[in-house]
Amino acid sequence: MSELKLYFTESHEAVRRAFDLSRNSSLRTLETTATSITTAGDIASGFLKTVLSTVASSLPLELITDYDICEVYCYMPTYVRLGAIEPNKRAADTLIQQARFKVFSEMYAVRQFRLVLRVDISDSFVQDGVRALECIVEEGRIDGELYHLPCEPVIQQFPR
Amino acid sequence: MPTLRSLVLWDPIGSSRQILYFIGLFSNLQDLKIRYITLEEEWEGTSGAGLIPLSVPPLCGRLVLARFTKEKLVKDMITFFGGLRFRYMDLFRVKCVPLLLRACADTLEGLRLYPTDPYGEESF
Repeated sequence: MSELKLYFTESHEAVRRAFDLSRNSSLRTLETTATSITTAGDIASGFLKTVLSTVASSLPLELITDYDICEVYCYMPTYVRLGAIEPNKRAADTLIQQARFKVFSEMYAVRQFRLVLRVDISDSFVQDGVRALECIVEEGRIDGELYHLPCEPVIQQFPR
Repeated sequence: MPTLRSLVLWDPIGSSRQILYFIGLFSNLQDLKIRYITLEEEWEGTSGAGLIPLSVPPLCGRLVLARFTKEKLVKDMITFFGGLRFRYMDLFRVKCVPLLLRACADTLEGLRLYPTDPYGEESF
């Protein structure tokens, strides 16, 4: 991850110049991936908040975040996982999910949006993925990270 | 191939004008995806400098670009196709994001981006 981080930018002004959405009057959705939020780490929130702050469109905005199987793996049923999850792996994953919800909450403070969490998994396991994501959201409610987010997340399947 | 609506180019080789000419062969093209395997600085030869696209495809659907540094290709598309009208863009490590966003200012409804995107750094 440290190698990748060399490429990430921490300059909000540079991000604002590159992703200035102030002229895009028809913009309705911003999409990203759960994996890239996690990989970017501390930079993710600043990057996404900066981009979001440039949106000038008055249309209702959707923030769509795609979850692949790696992001919901610990929450999948055992017949999908083909093995037990180590307790510390599960705990580490919970922290990752909480950190991601924190990013959403911080973004919401910049501009309101409808949060859509989308399961991007092959058809065979998509229903398991939806249930796994429902568990993640439920944990987020219990742990409190989602209380900072006034909008109720909507869970969808990736359109294929 | 007048009925082709979606085109994917993996690591296309050639000058911007040659790639533009190829795209212009498909008069009903709506979606375009160009992915390079490695990130390389834009290099532009003179090959095909006189090529003029045979049609103006609508290009009003989805644009997906990855590790893309061919700003000249985007500028040529704007010139020869009378602007860009994409409704959705998925951009990762793209050199000319501001140009694309301005070109699709009236039509862009959805944008996919990545916090891991290095764009915004001064030295690309």
